[in-house]
Amino acid sequence: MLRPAPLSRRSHITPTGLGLVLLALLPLAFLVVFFALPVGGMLLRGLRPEGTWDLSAVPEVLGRARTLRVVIFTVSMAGAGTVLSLLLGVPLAHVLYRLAFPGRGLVRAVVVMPFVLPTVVVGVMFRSLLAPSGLLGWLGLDGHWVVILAAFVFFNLAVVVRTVGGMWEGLDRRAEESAAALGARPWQVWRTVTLPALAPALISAGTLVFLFCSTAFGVVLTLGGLRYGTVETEIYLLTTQFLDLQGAAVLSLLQLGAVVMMLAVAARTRTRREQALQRGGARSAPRPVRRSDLPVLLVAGAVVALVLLPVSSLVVRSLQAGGGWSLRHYTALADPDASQALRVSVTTAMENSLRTAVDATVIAMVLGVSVAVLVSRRPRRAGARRLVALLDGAFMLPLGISAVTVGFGFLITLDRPPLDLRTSPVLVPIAQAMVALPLVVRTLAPVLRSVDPRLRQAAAALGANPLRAAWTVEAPVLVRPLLAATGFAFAVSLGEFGATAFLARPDRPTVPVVIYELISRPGADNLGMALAAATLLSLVTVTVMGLVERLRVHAVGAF
Amino acid sequence: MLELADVSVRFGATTAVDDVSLALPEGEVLAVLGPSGCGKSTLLRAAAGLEELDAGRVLLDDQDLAGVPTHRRGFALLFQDGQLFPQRSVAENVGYPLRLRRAPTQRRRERVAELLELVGMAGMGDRRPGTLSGGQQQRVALARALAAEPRVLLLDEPLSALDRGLRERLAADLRDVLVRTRTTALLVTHDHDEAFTVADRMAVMLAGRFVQQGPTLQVWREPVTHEVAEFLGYTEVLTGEPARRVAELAGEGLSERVGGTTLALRRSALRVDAQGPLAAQVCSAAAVTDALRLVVDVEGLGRLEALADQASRLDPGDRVRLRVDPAGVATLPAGAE
Repeated sequence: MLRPAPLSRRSHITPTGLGLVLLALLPLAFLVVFFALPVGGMLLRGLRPEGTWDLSAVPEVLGRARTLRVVIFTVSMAGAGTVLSLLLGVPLAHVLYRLAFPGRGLVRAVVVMPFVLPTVVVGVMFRSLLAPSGLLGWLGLDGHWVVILAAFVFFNLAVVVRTVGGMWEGLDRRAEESAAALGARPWQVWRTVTLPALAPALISAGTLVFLFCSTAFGVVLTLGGLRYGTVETEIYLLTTQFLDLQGAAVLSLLQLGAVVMMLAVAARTRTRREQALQRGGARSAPRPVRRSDLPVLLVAGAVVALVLLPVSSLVVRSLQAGGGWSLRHYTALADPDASQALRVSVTTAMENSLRTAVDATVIAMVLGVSVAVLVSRRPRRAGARRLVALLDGAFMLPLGISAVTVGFGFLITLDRPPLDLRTSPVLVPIAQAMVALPLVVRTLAPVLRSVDPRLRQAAAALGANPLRAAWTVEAPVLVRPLLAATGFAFAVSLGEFGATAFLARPDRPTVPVVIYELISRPGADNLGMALAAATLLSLVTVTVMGLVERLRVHAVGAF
Repeated sequence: MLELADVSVRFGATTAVDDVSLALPEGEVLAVLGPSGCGKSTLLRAAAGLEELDAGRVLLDDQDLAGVPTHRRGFALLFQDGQLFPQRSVAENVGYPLRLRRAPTQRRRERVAELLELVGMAGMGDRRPGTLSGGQQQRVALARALAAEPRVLLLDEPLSALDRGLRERLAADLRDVLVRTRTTALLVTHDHDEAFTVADRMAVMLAGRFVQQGPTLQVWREPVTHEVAEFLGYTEVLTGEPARRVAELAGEGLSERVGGTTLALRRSALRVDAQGPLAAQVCSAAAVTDALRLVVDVEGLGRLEALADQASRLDPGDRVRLRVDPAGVATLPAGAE
């Protein structure tokens, strides 16, 4: 009998594969139109000004003394911010995820809060704290770079605590116990067992903190003014003040390269961490506080106090006017003529903010769910696996690319048919969704990846088609993460400043934009209103995040 | 009838399944027995359509299943750890395949109760999988698989995660359920007893290939190679004059069957017996739960393993007499290495 010719591995696409490809189309189209196109357009505008390539600007811009100063400032600030965040965040993570004590949930919520606070609000907080009239005004640090650093730490502590804590919580305690049984002192246990186990989380968190610090916009703009510039604010200044698009494009490219590199590092360690997490045993429950925990507790307490200080200063000062307690700044929020700086009342801006944030959340969720489903599949073929990894990375990009570049890119590329959206109110929610999308994916994808693929296979073998099998197995575990991601996306959209500052029309500003307008003008009343508006906005985002925290989805804000 | 014809599955440079063929007639249970890493689970997954074939075909009643996705093959799959849907109750798990077929509620309820009864889990329908023991979970998983009325039931080490005593009890129950429901089943396992208890026929798989197939007892008694014999737990191989002598003593026509040239011996082949025909000296002794394990130097045969009654007291240097237990002796084809 003739042996049939050996089949080559079937090259036709299976129905499941086809479904996944279709699922990829919508988010990919979105990424191309609203991210690649604007960023590409922005870069082209700078590097091909007259329709021909002109790369002479590259060495010229990079050679400028000012560029060098900005780059050095950016890198050193981001480096210092990362180191400080890690040093303070790790003890806090230990206390919040390894020890059991009453009020732990509340403290966790307090620590996470800064991450979703609008950048502009953080700027306002620190200024209110350190201004000559502020609580810490005697330090004379107003306008100093140390303040920017403090704000970086304030902001990114949550990333470290959530990422490291999330992993720490799942560590099997028995490894530490056996080291101790072999005669290792607590410090040796920490150095030889705990630290290496946490390394992937530390690297991942550190990389992302560095990324967030080096691309921070709102904080630097509000705290550094024109004295201190990072690459991001420099792009903003070059674009809007000096109309030097070439310079902006070169810096954007530089930033893009650095961001891609950092995301790659973070992605690698993340894969390792997700694999490591799967073996998290049941023997990892937090233990009660002991006397020997005192040093860590003191550090953690100090850190929490540092987080609360700017917040309480903001609230207190928003309630003070003319030397006494007053709600004047709050009542002024409803008055459209309260400030020369504004065309509409702050309450109207709040309405705008809420409305765009809802739209942005809907967009981010629809796309985020599709992307999360896609990137959580583990195809057999190596090529397909690489494609999935690439997609995973591509949808993280908006997290690190200059929001200014995206925002300005929107204006210059989406200004002609068929996509003449410049004056359309959909631009703002789309830009905000772009920023929230990576966070949604990061919240949902680990949950989906943690589901044993054999459960789906068991369902398939019982006769469930791929869609039904996925629904049976994955929908039940996804309910709470979906709610959490929705809240997270909403909070982030609400506070988005970088891209919104470019795109919001003057007659339809959002609250962060209004706050920035207010603090850019002189006058105690303008500042007071900014403080009141910032308090109000924080209250909304913190409430939303408080609800999210109650859902106990660990992936929120962990990277 | 399930047929695998010249099936190969490769992962990059490694060949997990190498040109394997098998035929599984309706109502029969075939066990693929092999050490871990031999490719048996991949073979099962290939049959289920969860792995793509690099060569060969999977046929069901002469119909080629290439391109037929898992959920349309009508094979239920039972994993080592059950893979019950954790958010659904036991009854919902078992009723899942019936729901997929839109069976009416009343009918579904009856069938679920019937199946739970069958696997010895009657009245446990409202429990959550998380509250069940490992053995109970496997019983529920079995009921769920049977609810699908699979044309072939694929079992991937179904009892390996369980304790020994439970495993033995469940193996017998599994055999009983499969026979009563006349289910065609393909079982892969590394456990000899599991294969022996559950299956009608057995295939031994080593390093991606089938090295022997046949009725379980036949494979057990007549391994075709030294390797198979070793994997099946035969610790010694005898050739020449010693083999002829043991074959004679074993009786039961063993000597005629193969000419008595090559024999494989389990530890239980030689037993201490005061009336036994062989003389030996004890070299070492170790107690296990139900016997005393000896290494003995047998006159004319050399150093071999043997068993003694647990109550007997033997020390190195003691002289004993041995008899041959034919159940512990297998014949190897002449010249098998």
